[in-house]
Amino acid sequence: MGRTYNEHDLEQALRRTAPGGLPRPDFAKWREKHPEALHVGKAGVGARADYDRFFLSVLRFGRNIMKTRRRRLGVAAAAVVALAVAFIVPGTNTAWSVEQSIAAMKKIETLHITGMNLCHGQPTPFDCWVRSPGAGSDSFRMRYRCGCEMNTTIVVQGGTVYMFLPVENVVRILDGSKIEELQYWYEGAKISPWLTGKLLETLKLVGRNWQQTIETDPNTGKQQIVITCNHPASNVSALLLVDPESKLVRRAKLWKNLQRQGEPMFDAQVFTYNPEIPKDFFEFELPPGATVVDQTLFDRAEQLFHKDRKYAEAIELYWQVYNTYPTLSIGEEALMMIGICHDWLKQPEKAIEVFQKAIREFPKFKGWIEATWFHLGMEYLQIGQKEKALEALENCLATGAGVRDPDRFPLKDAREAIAKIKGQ
Amino acid sequence: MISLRPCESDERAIVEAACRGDVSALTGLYERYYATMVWVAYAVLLDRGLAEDAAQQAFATAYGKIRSLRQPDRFGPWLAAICRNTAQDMARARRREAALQKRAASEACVASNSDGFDRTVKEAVDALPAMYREVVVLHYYSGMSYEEIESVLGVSSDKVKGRLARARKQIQVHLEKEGFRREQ
Repeated sequence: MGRTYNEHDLEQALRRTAPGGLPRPDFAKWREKHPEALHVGKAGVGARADYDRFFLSVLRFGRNIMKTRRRRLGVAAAAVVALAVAFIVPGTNTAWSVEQSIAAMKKIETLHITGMNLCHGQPTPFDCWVRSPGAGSDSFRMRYRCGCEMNTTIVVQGGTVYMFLPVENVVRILDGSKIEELQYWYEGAKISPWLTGKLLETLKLVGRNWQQTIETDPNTGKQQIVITCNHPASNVSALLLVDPESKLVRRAKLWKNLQRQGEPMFDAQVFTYNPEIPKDFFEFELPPGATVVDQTLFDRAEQLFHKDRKYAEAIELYWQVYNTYPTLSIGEEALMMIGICHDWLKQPEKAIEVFQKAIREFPKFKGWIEATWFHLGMEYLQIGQKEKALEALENCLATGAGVRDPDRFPLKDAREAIAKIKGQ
Repeated sequence: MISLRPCESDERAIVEAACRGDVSALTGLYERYYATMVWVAYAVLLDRGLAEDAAQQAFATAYGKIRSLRQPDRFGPWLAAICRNTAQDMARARRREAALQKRAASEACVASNSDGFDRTVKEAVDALPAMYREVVVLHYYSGMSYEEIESVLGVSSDKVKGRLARARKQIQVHLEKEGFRREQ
């Protein structure tokens, strides 16, 4: 003992005595150990709200049998907003930077987008109008019109969503904060930099393989910034054309492949910034004679099915929905869900009975009939009735032809199931 | 891996994304703060293995509550507080304070040099009040600057400097008792 030391000695000793090496984070391992922790917020949006999953949800048209027409339209509308906001990143050269677009976006009060979207697998025109919070209203407003034969219109007033189905003359009033896909839609809309310009930094996390070039628009002869990226998790790629002067987006496309090949599944062709939109355009007026559908029961049933996985209880509520609206599409949807619940409960006979009832009572409603045929076929397969399964699956293909995308659910799945049965 | 710039707006955006369950953002926050949280927990537990456990638990707790975080730009201090509490709970619950001290001493022995200077320094650090030990650990073990400590602990860099100065003073007193004299 009796040694002397200086400040340097002390500092060196302090550093040397650190126990172990540098702590190394291993998120994957941690995630395995704490799977529950990723359900952020637990009661709310949760892990499903991450943007990767948001995009997957938006793009999974029809694959999940739970997606209703309103949801498909909802996510289509979400795609309009999300695509418009998500594919903006810091520029790779001096021509464009994210900050410039943020600044430009903050000046936008109203927006009108027109283009083509896939509705039931068919390219369909759409119109979408948006008014940002603060631009004459204190909540987000949107009106989305699908050009499909259903001619559905969705009006968003803050958290309330009105969906008008002219074919049935039915209005569904939805709470945007409670409905899964519409939650994404609403959240997507709320965070849109077209509206707020606030969360661009976050959106940068979504895309991968960003590239930026300057090209001349062959139609106008003007220069434009071409930005491309993809999202491998959802097998989606995108292209964005940005005006080099205003830094606003001129066009946006989305493909269901990473190479941007073939026809885009979504093509926002014309962006009109700050158009004059009458204030009452975003108000929803109940059409004469329209039936207002109470979604409460249905939403509770959906909650039981999706989140709580209490299928027996869900069945009870779906039956109540069907009994309340036995001739409307929501009734058809409820019937199909009852069949699916029985499937989860390993009750194929009951499932078959309900699917047959749905097919019998709702033969003309497009959108679910082919899916119901598919589920019926799979139930028959489960109990070993291959002939009946084949017949149902063939009916799925027949009713879905020209209505559904042949490369997606249920047609793709039906073809695969048929091939499997025949190959055995 | 996405690079996460430690600037305020970036942090805020990432935390907001994490609030929505964005896995990339959650991963980014984990990778950014994990090492620091291990040292925050270590300052309480004086055991590296337990500190890693506490840090991991703290992330699980924080991610479960992240939507209640009112100031996304103060994620670091908020997480550090959770981590500190987690570590304190662990220390309390396991009733292993004495054992921890012994284990810490044995770890120090591994790192000690021939005249025992390092071991004595380590003992002095372990004997510091938790508030001082925390800044010592973060500054010397983790290599964080005053500003970085400020952003994580949510106290001003002046306070960090003050705590470090007082911690060094106490370490010097301890060293003096053990026969080590500081050069004038």
